[in-house]
Amino acid sequence: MTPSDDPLLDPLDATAPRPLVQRLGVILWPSFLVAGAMSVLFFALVDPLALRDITFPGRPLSRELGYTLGFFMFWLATLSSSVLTGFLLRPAPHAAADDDEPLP
Amino acid sequence: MPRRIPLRMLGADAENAVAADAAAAPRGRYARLRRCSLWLLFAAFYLLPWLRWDGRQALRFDLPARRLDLFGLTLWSHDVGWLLLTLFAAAAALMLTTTLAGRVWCGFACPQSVWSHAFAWLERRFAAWPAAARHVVWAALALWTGISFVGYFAPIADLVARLRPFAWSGGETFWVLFYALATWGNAGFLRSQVCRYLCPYARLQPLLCDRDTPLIGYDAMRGEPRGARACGQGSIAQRGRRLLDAGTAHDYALRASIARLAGQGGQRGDALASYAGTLPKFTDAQLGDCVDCSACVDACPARIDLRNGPHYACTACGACVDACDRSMDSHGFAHGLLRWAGANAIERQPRRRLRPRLLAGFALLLAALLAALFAAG
Repeated sequence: MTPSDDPLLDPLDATAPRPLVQRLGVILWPSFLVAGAMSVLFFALVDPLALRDITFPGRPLSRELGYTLGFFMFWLATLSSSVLTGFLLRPAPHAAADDDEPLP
Repeated sequence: MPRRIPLRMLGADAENAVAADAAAAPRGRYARLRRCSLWLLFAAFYLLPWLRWDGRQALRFDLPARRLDLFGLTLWSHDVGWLLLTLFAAAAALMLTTTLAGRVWCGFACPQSVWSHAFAWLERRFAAWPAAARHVVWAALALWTGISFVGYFAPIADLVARLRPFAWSGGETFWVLFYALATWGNAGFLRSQVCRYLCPYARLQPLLCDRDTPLIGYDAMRGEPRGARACGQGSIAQRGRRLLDAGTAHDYALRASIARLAGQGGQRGDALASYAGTLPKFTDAQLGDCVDCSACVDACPARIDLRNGPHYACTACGACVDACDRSMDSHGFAHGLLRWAGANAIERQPRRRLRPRLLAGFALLLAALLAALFAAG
């Protein structure tokens, strides 16, 4: 019998710790997905060149650069939100002097 | 009734290791159909940017010009409503497909499956080579994937022509490398972990399935109580043992799965064992058709034991079904202990006619079509 490589497949232990790559993944991937969708929606309605003219007129910023910058701005926003959510989901620090039994 | 079991010797040298690995790949009819679909989509992704239509690239998001060329049709940025409507209709169709046919999207069409399958195939082909060779091939495929992806935005013939001498813009270089890196990581290393931890559809999908949705199910009424037995006993049909009722079968399956987890030892193991109670010792004549060979778990890329019930991380790849059928073959039992069927069919219950999830999916799709008609007319 090959044991499962994955603690989460154990239906009886919901508190099994997740590997780092998965903890990073659940923050990076959904934020990437939403940033992509938002970029498509936003730039379908707004032309990056028009945006440049009202923010940095005279700078030689191309449309491609505008799209890339816009995407990464969206990603930065969604990423920071995901990081905060992930941080708040961590268990609250336990009082060290507490003498109650740790959960099994 | 003595039967010959098909056996062959495999040496330890590399060539045989490759042969053994190829033998481990799923071979059934379902798996073949699935492989065809995955390779077809794989090829389509690389070929589509090269397709010409009326003198233009057939499918191209021309971002600088803010236009989308779609097989002779041109959409401008103010047509974004159509894009949203198409996305909505696609989501409704996916919902309907899931209720009707289970996870066919995951197994047959999801890009994650397409590229994981391709990368795993390369891994098998280069199993006998040093690991560096595999990584070179993976990197080359990932880079070509990145180039093809950017080829949906920039004219691909021009992009490839500017490869030597190298004259890409910074943006093109960045996005090719970014997409190549994502492909390399997702398809080379993460694979089914993406389905398990990162995919929203995987989590939603159990809500869309009902008891008539065909998923891969374990026939506990026929298979339980599971266990190894002396050879030549015959299946329950050959021995004339009746099927268990669904409740007893589920109880045996649950307790067997807990007993296996409890076997891990320690404090938790003891707690589990006392919860599950000891399973009775069954005689060979009482045993069901599951020989507990664990071929299904070993064949599963995510190591799921579907005998414990449906699991959201199961992408219905069918590897366990083929592995189980092979095991049944070697014991002379009928196929289908693990099979592609809804819970009602597995438990010999009648199909339901009125299915709320199916009606909801139809309603959403109908709404999308009506909105399209309304917008066009």
